[in-house]
Amino acid sequence: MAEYEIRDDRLYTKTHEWALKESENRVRVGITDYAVKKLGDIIYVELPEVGTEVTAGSDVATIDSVKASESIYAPVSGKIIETNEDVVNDTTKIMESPYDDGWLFVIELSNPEELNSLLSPEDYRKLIEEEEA
Amino acid sequence: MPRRTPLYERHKELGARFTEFAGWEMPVQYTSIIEEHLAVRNSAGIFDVSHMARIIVPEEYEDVLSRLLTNDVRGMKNYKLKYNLMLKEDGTIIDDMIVYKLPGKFIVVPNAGNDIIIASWINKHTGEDIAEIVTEKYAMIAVQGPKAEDILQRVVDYDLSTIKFFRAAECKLAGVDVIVSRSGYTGEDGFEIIMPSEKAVHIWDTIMEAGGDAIRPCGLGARDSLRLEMGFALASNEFAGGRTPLEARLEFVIDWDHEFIGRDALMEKKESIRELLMGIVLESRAPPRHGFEVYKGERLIGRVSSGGYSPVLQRGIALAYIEKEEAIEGNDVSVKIRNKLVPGKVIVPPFIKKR
Repeated sequence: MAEYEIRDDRLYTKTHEWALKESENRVRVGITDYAVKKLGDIIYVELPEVGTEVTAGSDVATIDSVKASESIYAPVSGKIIETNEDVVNDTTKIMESPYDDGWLFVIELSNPEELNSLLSPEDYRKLIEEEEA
Repeated sequence: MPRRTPLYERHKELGARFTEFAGWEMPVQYTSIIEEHLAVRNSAGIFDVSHMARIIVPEEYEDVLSRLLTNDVRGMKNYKLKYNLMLKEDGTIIDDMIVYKLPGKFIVVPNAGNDIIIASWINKHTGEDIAEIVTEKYAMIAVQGPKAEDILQRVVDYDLSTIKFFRAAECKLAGVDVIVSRSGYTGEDGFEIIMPSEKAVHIWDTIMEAGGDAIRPCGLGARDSLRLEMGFALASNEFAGGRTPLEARLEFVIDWDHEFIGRDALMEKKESIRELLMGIVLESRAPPRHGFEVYKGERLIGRVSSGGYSPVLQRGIALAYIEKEEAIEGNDVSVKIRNKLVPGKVIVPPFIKKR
């Protein structure tokens, strides 16, 4: 099995987003190293407008690779308060640094309880192992 | 079970990611589609194209074969290739294919997965079981790019510079009898090699070694983006749903001076064509995909048949069937991508100019 980086400092979704808690009601969101490697060459990113209200599991952004277009889902409900314009201008940042420079947007949570339903790093590791099996 | 080429294990060792295409399990990419694409544009790439169908038709059936094809293949000189279309009676395209003329026979190379359809069509019209499917017996490798000739020359016993475009030769490659033609699906100079299946791995390795850093293995992903930049049709996209060569702007493949199935229908349809296959270059990098809608202002004027990202132009590009009246070079149109109208311009392909 190929090696995929999974960071212990954040939470994950079944659809391969990560959510990094930055304060009681803020999470930074991106896609995982596994998602990046599955997508291949990323050439285009469409991010939500700042101010957009999103619900957990809703389709809020799109990443196009040469092969396919993939939806990015909001891990939690709330409001988009920041987006990463750097990745829009240079999509290679997502491929090279999915957990740092390649972040996509920040959500201000409307219901911080929702964080409890996200996957822990261990659960996410298991999910990938299952998908790869 | 999908079909696999004799190079399947080699692709696996090279770290390929696979996809199923027309019933075949094929490498889609080894490292990066964009890197593979640019290697072919700037240096050389090697492709396993063994999934393409190969059918042998004896020379004496040239009259029948000619009646099944838009280009006349009667009296073709040995070691020549011709691009061809096979049509139904109503003038719509069954498939496109390359026809090789070799001493005593033709080799017909239609699209992957179409071996039985095409061979049956030929047999039906000859009334005899004469079309021999040799897809599994032979493998096929393409070497494409500006350095293709230089690399291949190191391993063949034949002066490749004497093989002109769409000509072939029989020669030895690493001690194996092969057919080499100057042809391909990338828009670059390059060659396609037909060899016995059991020698495919040996030949692949020999070419890879001769090419060193100048050559890299390329998958179907790059094959698709390369052909799209050239505006070359992919049968399963551009001919889907019953398209005539008139709509697909493939009249150059038609020799009107010979009788062929579909000719009468085409003559009749000539004046009533409603859509034409055109290129669209978007202002954005967003890649349009198959089926996306094309608009002139607010009005729907057509649909994308093949779309993607051009690594050379760094723009989204598409082949699309659009209303004939709007099929004008430079026309400002847009493609609907996820509910947004992305502006672009109509062009006559290719998207990039080559030689």
